[in-house]
Amino acid sequence: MRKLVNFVGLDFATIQPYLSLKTCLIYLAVCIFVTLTTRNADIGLSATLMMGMIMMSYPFAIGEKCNLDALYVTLALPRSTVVSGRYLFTALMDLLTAVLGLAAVGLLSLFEPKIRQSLLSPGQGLALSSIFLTFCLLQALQLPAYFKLGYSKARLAGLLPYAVLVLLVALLGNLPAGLTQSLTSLLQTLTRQPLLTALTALLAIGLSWLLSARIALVFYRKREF
Amino acid sequence: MKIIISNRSDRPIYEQIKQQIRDAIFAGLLEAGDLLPSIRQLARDLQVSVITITRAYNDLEQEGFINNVQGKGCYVLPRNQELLREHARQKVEQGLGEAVDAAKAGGIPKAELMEMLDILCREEHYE
Amino acid sequence: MNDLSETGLILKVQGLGKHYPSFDLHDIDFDLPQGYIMGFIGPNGAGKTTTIKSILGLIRPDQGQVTLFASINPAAPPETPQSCLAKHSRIGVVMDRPLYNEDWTVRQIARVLAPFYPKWDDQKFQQYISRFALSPDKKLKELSRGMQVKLQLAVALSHHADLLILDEPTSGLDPVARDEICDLLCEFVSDPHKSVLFSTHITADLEKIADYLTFILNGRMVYSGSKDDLLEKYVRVAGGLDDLTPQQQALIIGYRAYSSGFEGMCLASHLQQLPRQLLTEPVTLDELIVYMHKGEAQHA
Repeated sequence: MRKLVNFVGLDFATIQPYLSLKTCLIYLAVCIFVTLTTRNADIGLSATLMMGMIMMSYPFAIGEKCNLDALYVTLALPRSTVVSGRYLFTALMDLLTAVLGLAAVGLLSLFEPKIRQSLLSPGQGLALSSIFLTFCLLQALQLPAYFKLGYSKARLAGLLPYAVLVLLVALLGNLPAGLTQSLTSLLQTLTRQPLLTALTALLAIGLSWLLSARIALVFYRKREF
Repeated sequence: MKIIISNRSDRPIYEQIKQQIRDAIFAGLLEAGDLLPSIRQLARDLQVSVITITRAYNDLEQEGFINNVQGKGCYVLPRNQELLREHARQKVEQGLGEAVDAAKAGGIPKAELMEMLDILCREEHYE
Repeated sequence: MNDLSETGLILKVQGLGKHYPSFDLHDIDFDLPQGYIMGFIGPNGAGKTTTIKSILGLIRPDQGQVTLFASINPAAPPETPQSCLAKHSRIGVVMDRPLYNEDWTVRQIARVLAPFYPKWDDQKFQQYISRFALSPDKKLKELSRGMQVKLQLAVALSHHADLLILDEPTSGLDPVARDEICDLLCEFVSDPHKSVLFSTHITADLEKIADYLTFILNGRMVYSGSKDDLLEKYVRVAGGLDDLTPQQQALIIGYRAYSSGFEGMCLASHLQQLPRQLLTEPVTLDELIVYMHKGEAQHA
């Protein structure tokens, strides 16, 4: 357990030199810009999470450049600790960006009624849940690829989830009428039950990450440095 | 005691070290009961391998110059007359060998060589 | 004076082999006792780094095994993967390129690594960086190669490693820096419980300080044992072109003929079969590697 905590600390130390004030300000500016131009809190939040996802890949990128995977072996860290630690680090980064993004959007909503409206709309529970679910599922697909192939090789593979997402959206737009109808009614039900929706999303995230981490560990055990 | 090593010598380093310790004992610089530097200390100081020093000390112990007391270190043993004489004999042999070679090369007859030795001894009052 | 028999083995490599598409490592077998320096020599590409990576657990050998800090106590509990892994924190590693984030500062590296070492000694680290004149606020990538090696040594010595494994620590360093590193290694093994495995192709560094040598050529082990034994086993010989009969020439390893003579090396035990007028002298490690390499090529 102590090793796990130490490893998460090591990951934060790894990205720390790149987490300068300048980068943070740029990220914040993009987030504010997107939110203000679209006047939609959810899109602003998605943009923030997107940037969080870029940050989350840093330990892989730096690790590959500086051969940190070999360092972990010389520090007597079991591979399972590296995998679970990296997932924990990613989750913490997600949480951090979500909180920061929400705070920024919330702040903006004080000045711009349209943003306030989008933030307080009745479907917000569903919207937030689905945004988080989407991002977390994307990461669940991405992380094992990084563990298997290393950063530079997995970067292309890492784009795959986005392609899946675009395909999914396109598919949803062209569904047969009957299916669209039942989907709409499902969404309405979910809108009325924000708590249940959130819990379901959380459960789905948890399960997908557990599965993803399992697979990542199988891949990572085979790696040589 | 002085121990120095030559990096250009054909003689192995352990030989050089052995020789210098032996010379120091003969010259009386090291006396019976003196403690030699520990193997690891000397290896560290001279920047040579531990095995090299171990070998020099082992040889000296076998030749009866020093005694290794487990856990304490290596002590110089009292000088043994027989050993001293043996050492002297070796040196004399070496010197005389050179003299014989030089005489041979210069065409100096054996009788003259003997005479020279005689004169030298007389000059040094060695009878 | 049983300095040799009182100690345990710090590292045992048995039948190590690893297959790559373009390179094979075969049957690497050696023991490193406590309290000694072992030089690991061979030309570039002979398999030194592959062997070291196998010892460190960075790659999985296809054959053979590596035993670290073999317990002398027969009643000790059997090895588990965890206990085996835990031993890695007793190894100090100096690689060709440090395994740290290049944007970390010297100070940060110590802070980041300390929690992973049970025996981390921060005071000692401070002493070493001031002794090596490493400025704590410099980033790793701003340090010269010599400084990077010294930083890795400072880390290794501050976590009280019992075994130092160095992969080409002196390549690309000036004579002063190389001497400092050799001095440090001598200082390290003045503690009879600590050992060093030191790969290099600059054999001058090993000529004096190494106790043992393991010598590999083209992925195969040529020799492993005491350095003195190896250097005494062979003699460098040189002579005129018509000094040798063909049978005698076959005894010369790495035979090279030129317009006015030949040179090579032979087993000291073969010397009496050769004519007496040949020039004979002790062989240096560099010459030994070159003649062995040539000999291998001539036989192939």
